[in-house]
Amino acid sequence: MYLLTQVTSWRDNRDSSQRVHPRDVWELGYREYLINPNRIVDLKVYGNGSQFLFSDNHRDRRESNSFLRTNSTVAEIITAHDTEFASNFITLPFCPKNDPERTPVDTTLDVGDIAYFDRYNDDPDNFCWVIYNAKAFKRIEQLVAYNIEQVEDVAETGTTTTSTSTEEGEQ
Amino acid sequence: MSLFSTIVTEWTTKKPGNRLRVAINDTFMLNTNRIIEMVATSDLTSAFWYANDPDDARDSPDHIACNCDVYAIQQYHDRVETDKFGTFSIFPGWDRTETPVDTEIEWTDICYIYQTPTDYSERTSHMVYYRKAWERVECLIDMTPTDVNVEAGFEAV
Repeated sequence: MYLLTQVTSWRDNRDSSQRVHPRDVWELGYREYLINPNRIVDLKVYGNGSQFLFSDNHRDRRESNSFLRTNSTVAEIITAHDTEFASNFITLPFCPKNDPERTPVDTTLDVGDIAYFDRYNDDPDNFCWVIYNAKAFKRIEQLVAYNIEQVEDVAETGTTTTSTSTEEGEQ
Repeated sequence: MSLFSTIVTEWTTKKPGNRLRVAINDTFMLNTNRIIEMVATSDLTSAFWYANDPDDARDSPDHIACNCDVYAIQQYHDRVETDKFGTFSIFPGWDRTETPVDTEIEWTDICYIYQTPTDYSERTSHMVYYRKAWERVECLIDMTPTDVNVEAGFEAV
């Protein structure tokens, strides 16, 4: 099962992006990600949490791992990895061309192909990013019309009971 | 993860050779563990990318449309074979006159299985599997798709 975790540090060689932005650190001290434990290597205790290597594309030997520190304990990560998904496939509403204005298309992925989910900064209550692999071939970033909690629901139960929120404009 | 039989209506590939108009009625046993980005194209049909060799970064996935709906494929993907290995009777050198050799192959390594008209009358099948990321292997097995299902432990679907 995926694990919603507070990541305090994420160092990667892939794109030099700051996955835990200084703004996140300044505001909360962490950024929440929904990660797939099947990408974790060398899991160790660090303080009250954990540290480990994480593979964005575990099937590709050219992919160097990134390094994470999180507030989740080793035991919590092990429990998450031992928990079964509702199904080996997960269906997510993909926004075509990563455009939140477009009508989402339900798309089914193997749960093992997904690396992690990240909140969509512009509208985290209604959208999130899924980072997954087309098997070993390539890494894909896709906008999904679910928030992270809804994705957690779907992975765990096969359906979501949480509704997305709508901003109401002034009349 | 499991193999499931379906009629394929589109199979676009960059690899050499035709996929369609080879098997009887274009019916193939496909492996759910190769499917990427599956979408429903109607209530009864679906389309998806299909990785021939999911462990090889050089392998660009094919595109397949088939007469099996998303829900059914999901059910197939949630099945578990009796053993991680299946026993396949492979004819040495594609020669039906030779004695087939029982060979253990992991279910996850099988890409697809189909029957040509000759296979149908001889009760054999063509099978494509991968030696992990290393290489693609095509062989002739002394089994029908039904026999393969029985070997997996899925007699009634």
